[in-house]
Amino acid sequence: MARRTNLAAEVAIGAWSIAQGLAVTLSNWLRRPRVTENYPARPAHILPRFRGRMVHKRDEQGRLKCTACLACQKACPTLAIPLIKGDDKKGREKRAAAYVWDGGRCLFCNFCVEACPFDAITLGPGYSTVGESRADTHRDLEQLLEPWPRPGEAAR
Amino acid sequence: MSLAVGAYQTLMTWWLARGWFGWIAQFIWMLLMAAIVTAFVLLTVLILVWLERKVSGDIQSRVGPNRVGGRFGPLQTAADALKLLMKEDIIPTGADWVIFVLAPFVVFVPTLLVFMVIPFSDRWVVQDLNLGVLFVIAVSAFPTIGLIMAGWSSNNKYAIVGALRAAAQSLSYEIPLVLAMVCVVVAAGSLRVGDIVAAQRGGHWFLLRFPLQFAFLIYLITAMAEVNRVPFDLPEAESELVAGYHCEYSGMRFGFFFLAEFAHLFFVSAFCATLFLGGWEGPVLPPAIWFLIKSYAIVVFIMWVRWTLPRLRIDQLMAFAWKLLVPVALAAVMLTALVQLRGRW
Amino acid sequence: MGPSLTPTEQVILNMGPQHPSTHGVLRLVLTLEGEVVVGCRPVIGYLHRGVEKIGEARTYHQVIPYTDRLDYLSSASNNLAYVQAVEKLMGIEAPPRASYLRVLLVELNRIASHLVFVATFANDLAATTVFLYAIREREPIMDLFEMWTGARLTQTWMRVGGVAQDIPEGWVEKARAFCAMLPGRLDEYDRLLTGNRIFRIRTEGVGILPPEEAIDYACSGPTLRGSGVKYDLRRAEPYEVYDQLDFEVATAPTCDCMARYLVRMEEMRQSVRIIQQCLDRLPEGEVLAKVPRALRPPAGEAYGRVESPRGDFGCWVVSDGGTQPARVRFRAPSFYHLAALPRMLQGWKIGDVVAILGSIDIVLGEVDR
Repeated sequence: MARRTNLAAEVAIGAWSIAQGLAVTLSNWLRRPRVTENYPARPAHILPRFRGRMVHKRDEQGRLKCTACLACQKACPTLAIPLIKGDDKKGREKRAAAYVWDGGRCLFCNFCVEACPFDAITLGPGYSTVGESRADTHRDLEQLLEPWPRPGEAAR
Repeated sequence: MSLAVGAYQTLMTWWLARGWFGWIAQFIWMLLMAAIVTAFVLLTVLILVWLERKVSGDIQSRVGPNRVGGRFGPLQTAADALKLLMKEDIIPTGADWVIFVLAPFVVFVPTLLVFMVIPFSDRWVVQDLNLGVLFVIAVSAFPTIGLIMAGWSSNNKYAIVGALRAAAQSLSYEIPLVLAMVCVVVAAGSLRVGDIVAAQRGGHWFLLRFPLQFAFLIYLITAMAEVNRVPFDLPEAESELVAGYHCEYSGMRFGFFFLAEFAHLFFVSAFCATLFLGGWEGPVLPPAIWFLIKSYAIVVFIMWVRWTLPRLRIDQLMAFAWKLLVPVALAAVMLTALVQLRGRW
Repeated sequence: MGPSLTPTEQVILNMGPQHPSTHGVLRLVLTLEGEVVVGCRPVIGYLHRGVEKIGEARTYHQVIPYTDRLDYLSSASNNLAYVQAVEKLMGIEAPPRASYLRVLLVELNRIASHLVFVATFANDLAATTVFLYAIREREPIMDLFEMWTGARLTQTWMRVGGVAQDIPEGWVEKARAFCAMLPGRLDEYDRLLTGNRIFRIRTEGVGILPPEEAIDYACSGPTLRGSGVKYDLRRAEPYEVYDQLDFEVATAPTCDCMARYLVRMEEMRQSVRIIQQCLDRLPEGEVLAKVPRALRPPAGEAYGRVESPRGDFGCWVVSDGGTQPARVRFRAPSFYHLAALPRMLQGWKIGDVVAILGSIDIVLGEVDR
């Protein structure tokens, strides 16, 4: 007799636990809002410090800030800055003439930004580093100076 | 609709009066019925797959399909079906080719066949057999053979494990299912589905009649097991067996298994609505609409359960069937018979 | 017992590197008799990237991003172990504010990692909805990380001597809001999973690991505490400011999958407690000690240990006086838990393999390095 009552109790407890689970799913069924973001119809929500594609900065006079001091290249753990070349000017006037950033190798670790003594680079909000070939993931100085997203273009 | 039927009957009478081969007309009528039922089932499956994705999305705080065909994504299933049709048809080396190809049909055709006895409304039933319930029980057992064929012929260990699990599960849950249906048959006094619906006329649903509530619960649980849905979806346990018995199927062959599963799901829900909820009965709205409402209510409930519960292991599943459901179902049958007898005295 | 009349043979089933439930690229070669597992041989190495060898060719500072990618679900713990080792070598101590920030980051990582555990464990047992709920709960944590560090998963935010940057305006309020929200959601998981009859019969009594064997296999973390052994590095060898914080060490006596699951659920609640205390007590000050630009520790060796969500994560650094380490070696807890897996699978069915493997919560990134 004890066994049978145990079985009945077990069945009752089991059924109750399942009912509780169903109640939780029901409450979530009715809960709004939905957490789905309608990407890419709407751009992904990016917070200010997001570390995405590298961006080169200009100063107030519109001049490139990067002086090709190679600090970022030395700081990078994965050799994601394969090419930096300065122009012919000397001293304070020197600026970078060529700069390549390899988006395929970059870890987005921020070491280059921290190493730069001139605050010339930052990892910006661009979250898409895709390309159709390996060369596409490399960005040269002109592309690194572009604002993202390009005005008039959807963010993606 | 009745206009068309009337026109057809006039044509039939004229044809037979000529003495021509009447069986040709009968044959064409059968084909027509089969086509209509198949079309209805396929359309329903399309809707059900979309519904499943929407319901699961809603429960999980997300939006289901919302791109294809407008804001609610109604054409998503059609897109998926098109995709399946365009996929490469892979038959694994070493697979038993004949059985491999036949298996999807053995699973799909019986699922269509059982729709023959369900009354969609007070005038629409393909063939209201005198042994309707028995017919359903017999034909519902067929897809299991198809599962075993699929698992065996795939030449894959995961598939064979899934197939054997499917066989064990199907056989075990067949018994409480039949017993639950027997309860209803005892209460209605006939195996004919039309009689069962008639016995519930005027709002006296069998669900409200004691002790058929037990039969209702048992029917729901075993129906979920027969359709291989969580918590009984071991044969196709995705996270363990990578789709179990149909893991070697690709393209439209897989599509057939998928279709069959949802068609079977709709059938058990419709049958539950017919047996326990009064079928097409209901005030104000046309009977066919009531039938659909009740069937879809059961479908949504089964989906709700699916997205809430974890999966049972094979031995626990069998223990549940044999040690709990069968005794309770037997007791329910005896109780129903007693109550029925008492009512007659 | 005489010879059986039906000849049976053992079947080898391969749960290959691609499988929905092996939590990464792990290959399990199972020997089955029917549905019962009689042997298991884990094959690893599919995610080996040579991190320890790479570490010898990078400066001490440059190794930090690589440590993130070991146990990628809680990258701050890995960072912390390595950075602690280097700080021991150099005799540097992080300022108090940095210590509190480190604890904040690590505990948030712990909650995020345990949420992934709950999600994948539930998913393996076909409670797919809980998977999505846990991932949904993880989004506010990712937002907190992104707001502070700029990255959602591999933050790379620890430095030798402190943390990289301070928390921005409004971060504390958001963190408090998250701490207020989480316990209610954990209660929902309790109602959906812990109390659920089906979940209980799948996990109770399954995959027993007796405490003596757990210690023999060098298990740690929730795998050890789920066998009743009350050992937590945050209490046994306190680091950072854990000795000043008030929290319970969660253990469970039943040694089964349910025990390990319960330990992790309770740890999430304790982590919320810790985070709230840190937010209350956060002192003013700098976040990075005065450290030379080029790190050149004196020759020697040091070992940094942290209690990661998986267990005892350690990092052994050997310095020869140069700017690059002579040897970096990581002690990954999942590696040892994987060694205990064949013992835990013995005699259970295929369906239990997934449950047991899920309950020890391994991450192949740190197993293979």
